[in-house]
Amino acid sequence: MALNTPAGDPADPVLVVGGGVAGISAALDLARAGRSVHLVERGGELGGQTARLDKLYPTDHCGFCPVWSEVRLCQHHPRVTIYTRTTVRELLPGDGFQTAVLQQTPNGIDPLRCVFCGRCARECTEDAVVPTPPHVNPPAFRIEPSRCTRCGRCSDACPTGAIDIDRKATETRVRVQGVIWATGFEAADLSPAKEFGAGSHPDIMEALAFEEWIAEAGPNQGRVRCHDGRPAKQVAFIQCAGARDRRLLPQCNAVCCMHALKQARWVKRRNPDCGCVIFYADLRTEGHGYEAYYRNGALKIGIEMVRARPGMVYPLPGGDGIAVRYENTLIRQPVMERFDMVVLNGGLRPVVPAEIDGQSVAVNTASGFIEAVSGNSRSCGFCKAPADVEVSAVHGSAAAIEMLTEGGR
Amino acid sequence: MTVHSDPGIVQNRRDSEHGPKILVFACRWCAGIGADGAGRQRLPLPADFRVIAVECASRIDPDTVLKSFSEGVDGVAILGCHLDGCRYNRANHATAKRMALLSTLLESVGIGADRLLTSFGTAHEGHQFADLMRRFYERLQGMPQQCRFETDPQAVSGGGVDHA
Amino acid sequence: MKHTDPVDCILCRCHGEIDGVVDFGQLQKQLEDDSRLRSVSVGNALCLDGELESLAECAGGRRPGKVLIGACSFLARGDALIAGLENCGISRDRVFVADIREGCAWLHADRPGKATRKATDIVRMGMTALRHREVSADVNITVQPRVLVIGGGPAGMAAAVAAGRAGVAVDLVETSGQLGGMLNRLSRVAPGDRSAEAILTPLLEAIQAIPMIRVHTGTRVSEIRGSAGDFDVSLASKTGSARLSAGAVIVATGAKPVLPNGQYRYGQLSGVISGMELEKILKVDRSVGGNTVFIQCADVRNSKRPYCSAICCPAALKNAIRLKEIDPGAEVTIVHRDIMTPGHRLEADYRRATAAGGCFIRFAPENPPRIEGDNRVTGIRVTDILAGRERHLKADRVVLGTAVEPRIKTDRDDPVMTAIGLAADTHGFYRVQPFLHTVETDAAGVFVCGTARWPVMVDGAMAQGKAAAAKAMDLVAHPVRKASRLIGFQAVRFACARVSPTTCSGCGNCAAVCPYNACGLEKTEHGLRAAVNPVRCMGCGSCTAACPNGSISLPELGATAMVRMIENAFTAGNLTVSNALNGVADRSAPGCRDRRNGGVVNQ
Repeated sequence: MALNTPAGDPADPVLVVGGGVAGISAALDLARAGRSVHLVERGGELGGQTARLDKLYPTDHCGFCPVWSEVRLCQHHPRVTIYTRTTVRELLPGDGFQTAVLQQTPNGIDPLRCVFCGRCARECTEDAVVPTPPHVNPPAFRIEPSRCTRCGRCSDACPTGAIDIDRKATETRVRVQGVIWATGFEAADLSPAKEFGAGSHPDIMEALAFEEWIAEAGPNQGRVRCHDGRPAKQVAFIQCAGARDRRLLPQCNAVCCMHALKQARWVKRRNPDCGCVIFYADLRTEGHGYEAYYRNGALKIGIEMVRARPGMVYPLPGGDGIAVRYENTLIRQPVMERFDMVVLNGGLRPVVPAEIDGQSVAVNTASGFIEAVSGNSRSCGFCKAPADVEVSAVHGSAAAIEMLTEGGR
Repeated sequence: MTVHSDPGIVQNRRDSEHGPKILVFACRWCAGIGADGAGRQRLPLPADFRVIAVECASRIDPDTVLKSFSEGVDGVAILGCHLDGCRYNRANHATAKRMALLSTLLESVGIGADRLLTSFGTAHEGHQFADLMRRFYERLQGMPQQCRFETDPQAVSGGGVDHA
Repeated sequence: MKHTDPVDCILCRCHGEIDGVVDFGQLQKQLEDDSRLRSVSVGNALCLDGELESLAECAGGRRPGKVLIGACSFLARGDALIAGLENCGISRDRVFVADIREGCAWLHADRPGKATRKATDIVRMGMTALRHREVSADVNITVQPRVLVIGGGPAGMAAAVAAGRAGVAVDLVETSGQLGGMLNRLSRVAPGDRSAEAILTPLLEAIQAIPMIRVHTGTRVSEIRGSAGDFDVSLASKTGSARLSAGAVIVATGAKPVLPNGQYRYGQLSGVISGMELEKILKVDRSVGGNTVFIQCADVRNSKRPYCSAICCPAALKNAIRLKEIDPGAEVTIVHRDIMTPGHRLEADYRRATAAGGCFIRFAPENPPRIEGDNRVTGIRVTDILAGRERHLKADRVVLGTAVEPRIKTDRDDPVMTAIGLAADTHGFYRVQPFLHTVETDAAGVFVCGTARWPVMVDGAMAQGKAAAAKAMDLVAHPVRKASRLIGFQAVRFACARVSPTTCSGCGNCAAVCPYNACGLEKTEHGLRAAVNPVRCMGCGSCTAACPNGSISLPELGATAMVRMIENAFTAGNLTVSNALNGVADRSAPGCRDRRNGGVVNQ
């Protein structure tokens, strides 16, 4: 669903790229101020990374809840046009305006026509029809293209005509007066840092994957289990895995210390017998309510904090758990400890769309982040600088009002 | 849909079960999302409960709970958001206290504290809501069925409300 | 809208998802026999292809009534169904979606008989809720097109400039004699090495250049009364007092520096100075040499102040780099518990400090460094937990990182702000809403930014100021706003509490329990009576539950509606419906009420 705004439209549409908390905040503030907004999201639904988290620090709220009410406001706002499964292929310059070329790759199942009956999923023999992630409203099914054999059984079973396995990608052009980049972050590939053992064992998990693994709405319904099904008794969290590391990610990603504390805390809450150890370099608890969460939420519940940057994480032979080697600096001795699961925290990187390169709008990505401040381009959220939910939302609103008051200067 | 080998027999048996009647007052945030989640996942549950949705659990007063018991409801569940998560500036704190007091009152009037279940933030996922309901059912099954009280039909609880 | 308005019931089969379990034959019959419904119709998938709208039109025709829908849950398509009807002119007040899919058919597929009875009950409960639903009064707030910004530091200035540029009049109030706040006291600003002037000057120029911004220095706010859209503000200064009005209030009052009294022999030994004192020195004196030891977390991140003050580590790093630049031969050491440099720019500063020759020593909080010296500091001893041994450092100067703390610790000390609904968190910083509303408070129209909200650096404070302005604009940019739309997390509040003054006894329970200070007692000719501030009320219903005699209620879900829903909850399977009540009966008339198994419904 796209609008081509006519030339000279006083509403001066703005393009917001990214439907996470930063993008949603920017979009709502712009729309409320009378601008029309084209909100583009590459995934299937709004909410971004935050909505997929099981819990949020420092309040222990569920991840989706604070976000879905804002998503709903976006969906209902008459001046916000939402494009999901859409990326910005190009930004063409114009005088005072730019033309954004949007590429939409809709799923074979139209979420607007899906009533969630599930007949398509039952008919599919390849497990290629799956529901939208938990808590997405309204729920729908979608075809997983990598497993789809295009047999068409789902489409025959659908009572509402929601399925078209031949649904094509479409291109839409919209004229916009400004662009706010809110593309957020994604997990980085940690395999170059071999010492962390990423990918060498299913129980060595990267933080976001672990979040899904122990999520209440996830495959284990909140239980903390190894991949072979036995309950995890010892879990290690390794901080700065891949981050603050010139080989991979030089930055500190700001959110991982709290993320680990939150995860460890929830592991302990669900399984008080489980030992949790956090190996950290600097415990960054400078944010809003963080230190108190650390003291009351984590330390009091018995999470062990070890100041160390482990030099090696590897699966033990015989499938007997995971080893973590580190130096105990107080006794100045290397130590090896055995854990059932190891969570690698720190490997996050900003999403910088390839299409940004070669833009006529000056965008500085030398730091790896989108630090765009020029005329009619802004950035907000994690893609601008590592930021938690609150800071991202603040960035989004700040970018919006800058766009409203300084745009085009 | 669930498939049973003897659908007719199983259905008849389940249909003729007389389970304890439960009235659930659920706020439309955490609790409503949990109840909805149970439905979305099609988790099978006994059918003798009804849900009344409220904007916030703080709306529920002791009168409402007592009225429910007086109508012959066997168990009342008050489901709200976790105590730091109330959208209405911790309004559920007052509810938690109120219901705790009401529990003691229920003991003393012979209804029993076990017939009142409160949950703040533990039923926001489908399986949590379903588990909570099943456990409540089991608890109530061990108790005698509630009787409906004779009430004075003239006395409508909350009689002060203006009629437009 | 009256409870005697006709109700048209529209059921959705959902292509068999509902009627494959719920026997629609029975359900329809029960509902058709119910005199409280004017019509019952059935659709295949009400959410698609305008089916609901056409069924509603057929049912309503020229006499539109209320629409009771039996379909899926609100979170599925119920929300969209209500919106769809609104688009054809049937307001949301007249529509109720009873969930017989997620709430019934999908939970009880293995017991269809009971599911059918439950669906009937659910629809009946929806019917009574709809019948007895009333509509809350709404008020149009005439919004004062002005924003009051309290505090002229970076947060306040950024807020003022943003609002001013957006075309709104701003009153920027600052207690000291000049704008700038912390920017007047810092030598340089982290991250990076920016001059405070480079940040301050453009702000001052912008403020000067925007005539809509009125600056009141040497002035404090002595009183604020009112609610969103219309705050009545009293200012006091040496020259006298003034009153002004504002539509929104942005609190940017900052925080105060923690003086490290009693810490590390500060005040006893010369050469032990605070971080702020070093800033002052560095602003004027470019010849600051000698060995310097910075000690972080001085009197913060302890039980007295269980928070991290965020700014002291970046400040120490930038100053350490500076000291090494001035005197490359000096030993500059930062003694810390953790180095708080989140993000990429601050982390880069950490690397720069190391590259510049700064040393970093980590201590454990239970074993803090010891200061040595008689009249003047000579050095420190500290157990380095990373090297596993004690160290002795020479020091000509020891700098204790300056943390910030809230100006006011509890609500009691802050009557001006408490009066408009601001509250303090456990540390004393102003309490804000969580996550995406983090510069908003539970008082509509009141926003908090900068270190008054939480320790934050200049860039963050300015971003928060802009964000607060953006949120304030939503209120202030409209000459008139509906009070029902002030609730932040949804488009419209659920209800506005209503008092029945004839039965209210003035007990004040509602006032005590209201989370928004929307209930109060006012003097009437009959004595004290509860009164609801229709701008502050958010419709949670706390007052309703606390009222001993039901004198205050939420019209959208009043006591009668609640009672009737309870009475209708377990009635299906009992087929007698009283036809004597054709929807015209007086609600207080006794109904045919059977006992237990026969029980049914009247009204």
